[in-house]
Amino acid sequence: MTESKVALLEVSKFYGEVLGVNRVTVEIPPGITSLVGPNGSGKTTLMNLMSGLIHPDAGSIRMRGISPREPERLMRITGYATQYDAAPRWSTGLSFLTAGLLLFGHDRSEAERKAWAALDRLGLTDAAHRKMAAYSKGMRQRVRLAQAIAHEPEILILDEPLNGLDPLVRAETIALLREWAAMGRHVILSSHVLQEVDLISDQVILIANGMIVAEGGIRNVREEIQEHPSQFILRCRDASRVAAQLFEEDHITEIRLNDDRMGLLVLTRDRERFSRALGRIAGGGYKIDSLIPADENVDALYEYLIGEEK
Amino acid sequence: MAVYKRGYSRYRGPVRGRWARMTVLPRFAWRRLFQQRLVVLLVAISMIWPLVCAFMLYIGNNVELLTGMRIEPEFIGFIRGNGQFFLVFMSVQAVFALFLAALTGPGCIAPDLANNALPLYFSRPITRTEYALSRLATLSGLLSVVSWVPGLILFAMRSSMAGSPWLRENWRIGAGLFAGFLLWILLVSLVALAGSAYVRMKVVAGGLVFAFFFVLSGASGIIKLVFRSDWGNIVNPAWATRRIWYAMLEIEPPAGPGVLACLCILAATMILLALVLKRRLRPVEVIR
Amino acid sequence: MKQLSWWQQARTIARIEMRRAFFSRRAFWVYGLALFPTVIFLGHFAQVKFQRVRLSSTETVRPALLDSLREGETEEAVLERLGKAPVDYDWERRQRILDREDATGITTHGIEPAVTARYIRLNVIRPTVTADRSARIGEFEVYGNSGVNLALGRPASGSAPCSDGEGPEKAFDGDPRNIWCSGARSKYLQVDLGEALPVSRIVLKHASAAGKPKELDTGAFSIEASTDNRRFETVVNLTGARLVDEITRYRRMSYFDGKRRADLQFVEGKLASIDIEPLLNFEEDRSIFAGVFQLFYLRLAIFFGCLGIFMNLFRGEVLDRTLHFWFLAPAKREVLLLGKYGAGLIASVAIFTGGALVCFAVLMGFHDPAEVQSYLNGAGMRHVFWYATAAVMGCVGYGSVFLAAGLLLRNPIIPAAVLLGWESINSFLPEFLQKLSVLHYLQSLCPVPVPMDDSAPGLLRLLVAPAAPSSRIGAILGLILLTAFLLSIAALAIRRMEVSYSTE
Repeated sequence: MTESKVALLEVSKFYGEVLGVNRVTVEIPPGITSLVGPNGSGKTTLMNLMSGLIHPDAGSIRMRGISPREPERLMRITGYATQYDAAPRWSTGLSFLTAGLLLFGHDRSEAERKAWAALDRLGLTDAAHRKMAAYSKGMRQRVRLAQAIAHEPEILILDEPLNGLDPLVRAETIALLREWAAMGRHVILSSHVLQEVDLISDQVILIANGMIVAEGGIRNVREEIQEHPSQFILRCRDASRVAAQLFEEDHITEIRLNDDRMGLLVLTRDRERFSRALGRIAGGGYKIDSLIPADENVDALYEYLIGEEK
Repeated sequence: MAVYKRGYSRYRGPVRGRWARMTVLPRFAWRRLFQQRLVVLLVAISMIWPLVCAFMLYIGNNVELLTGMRIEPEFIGFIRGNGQFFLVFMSVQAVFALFLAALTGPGCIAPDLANNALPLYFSRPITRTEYALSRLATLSGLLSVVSWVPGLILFAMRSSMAGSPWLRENWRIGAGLFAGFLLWILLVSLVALAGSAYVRMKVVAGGLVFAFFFVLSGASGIIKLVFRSDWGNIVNPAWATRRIWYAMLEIEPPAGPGVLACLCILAATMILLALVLKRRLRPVEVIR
Repeated sequence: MKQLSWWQQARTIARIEMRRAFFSRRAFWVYGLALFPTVIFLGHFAQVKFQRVRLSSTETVRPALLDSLREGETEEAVLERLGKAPVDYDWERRQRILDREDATGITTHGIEPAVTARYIRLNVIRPTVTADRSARIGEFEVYGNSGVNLALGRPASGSAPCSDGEGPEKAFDGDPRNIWCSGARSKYLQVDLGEALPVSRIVLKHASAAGKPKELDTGAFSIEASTDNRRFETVVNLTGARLVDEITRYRRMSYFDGKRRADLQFVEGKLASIDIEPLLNFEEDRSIFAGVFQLFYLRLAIFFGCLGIFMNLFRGEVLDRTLHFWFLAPAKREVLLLGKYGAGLIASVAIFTGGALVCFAVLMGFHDPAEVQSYLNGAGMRHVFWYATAAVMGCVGYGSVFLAAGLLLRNPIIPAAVLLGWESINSFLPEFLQKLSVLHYLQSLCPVPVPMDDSAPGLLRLLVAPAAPSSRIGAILGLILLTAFLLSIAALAIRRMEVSYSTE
């Protein structure tokens, strides 16, 4: 079963005396996984370790059963789009991708076809014959993505892939990633834009100071955080009455009334009992329009888990 | 009221002059350079030969022992400090200056080009010419420390030991030493700067400085060999500089091209290097 | 999609890299280095052709006539036998020399009418007839009406002396062997007679009277007299020491017999020197090519060319931040190394071996085809083979050195500079240290020794001749072993290499 996972076991990496990642143990299933953390937390280090660009000082890494020390096997099924904003100045977009594909054993026409397909997916066909030194930042980002997907890898590692993309291309890229993940492939990406992480990720890995702080589905992770009361936004007509009712429950820690008197922000320590209480209140004749969890998102997770450490 | 009108007020104090501003770059560069161990080591090694020469001068001018020994009068004149003596001094120090330029020159411009820092400079009140001049000043200042500064000290030593009549007759040697070194420093600095602007990579630019002098010297060698003539030397900038030194120090020159030809070729070389520098120092590069 | 073997992958990598090695803008300089000697040879042959045209403006003479020329023949005799010369010009050389009759080095100058003066001053205008700029006077004697030297022992002054024992007083001490010598810019010697006295004769004993060579006698001078040491009057002028103008007439004529050029120099109408050289000397040119090959191709062109090409392969990619693209390819790192080395090797071999062979071909193209053919039938092909081999092995050896240096070291220029210096002083090192150099083996592979005329300084001779050359096979094996060793170190380094681009 682990043959279909990306597994890191007790992986540590030192940069001189500084610990880049500290005894990281994580198993990543197929789907879209986001690495979230502040700058310098070790996201890029982890990605470089997974792709074999750097070697761990301790621990082992297995990418679908293959070690990164065997690039001739691993790179067949892995594509990595780095954050380094550098592309060989001397080639055009098309020749750059084609050259990379030749090493996979494709003949020239096949390699060109695949390169063209990848460029098409990322909307770079117009600039395919221009030198990469003339590309804008967004185009360079896209060509790196194209280079990562051109050989249709099983594992896609993307370091801040949506950085510098305009909204249209961003949406298309997200669609591409979703499509990829739906095929049972690994998509591991890192991002700072937490709303997007929320939107597209199946699971999230929060990392800070080289250590994994939390991993799993967003909701699961949220549920495991006991220290912070859960927040819910309630829309109802008789907000103050509902609030009065809720205050009688001992698991409620805080209620804030919205300015329009039609909404409440409720903080509760026990979601189960809260939902039961809400049921009772609704059954008691009060009309509840909507109930939305206010902090089941990565933003909140980030703030709770990482923001506090500062 | 707009935010900037509330809190922000422009600096209205005294502003330093244009030339003073130009000294900012060299000052920071020198500080950075002298933090590098290799630079300090090389400068220290470059001081060995001036010390040896000072010792020789002292022996030559003070120890009566020499008149007792049967030494050729030419050698006595040499060790006392004549034109030939200073020529040898200059030749050795010129090599050290070359090494120093190859080590430090590339770091002056190449990183700015490679890391795309030129727009940062040129968006401030500094023109391309001022930038280039301040880089030149950085290198020249460093190279002066190992060239004419110890040279003039040696010359002063010799003058004080020989007395003012000697100085009155031979002040040209001092002037020739100073001017000759300035010429060499200018040439070597321009090569280092143009090289580092041309290739953008510090590492390669260092090699380019050596390559410039070695390859041209080899080229002059084969021209001499193939054409069976001494005029091949004109292609060798180090030889041309040395030929000018011979004239400045009033020593019998070797066979080959004369001073005027050497001056012309050096001037042409320097103009070419300056043009390369001008072309490469652009904040914006258009790629077609 | 088929799986590529490591060999096929290396080939693919090499092909990708070679495009850059051959066609990038950087390659332009490498081509320039490789073709420079060819351009020089072409220039030389153009010069020869021009000479040939010039010398053929008149009819060529028979070779036997050139051989019959003898020194001492008159211009007229030569012109009669050989006819008008295609190159013919004459010139004169004027020289002011001392009258040869004046053998003693003593000059006497009468002053008529006699002057009354207290201070007599000698101004040296031209210290000697050679480039020696020091004036020397053994004795400066001033006579009045009697035969007494008025200046003997009198207070003297003068320009700065050459050394302590050669002050102005030495010219007035009665012993001509004690000389006054001065190297100052304006040389003068002055005596104070004590009171104003009539002066009618001045005798100067110059350097040759003091036992020095005649050439050091004073060339031109003037003597002035004064009563108050302020206003001086010239009493003896420039023409003082008897200087005469020696005019020598020179004439140069060049003849051509179709193959050889004869330069004849006549001095005063008589043939003084005969210089017969073939216009094109195949053997000499081959020897010069050997010099060009060793001094330029091996030491400089291949050295710096390989430095540029091979260092770029890895260190250049690191600096450009594009190396990780290669590491993300599905290839073993050692295969990557091999592919890149192969690309660099093929490019450098093609460019430099090609350049050297083109140069050699150009050289042969300008000579007599029959001569060239016989050379090629004889030792020629062997020479070509060994030149090519030396160039190839140079690329192999230097390539592996610079590739390894680029991988292992942050600043590979330093070891390159050290290597350059090491190879320059290679000849001065003891034998076992000499073997630790690429150039040593390459020199052993060169077929023809470098031409050295005896006038070349011993230093230069040492630089080009290996003291104890290795055998050819040994040299090739040595270089291959060195390359294998360096490449295996490089392979170890690349396996452990980590990509984290820091700011340079």
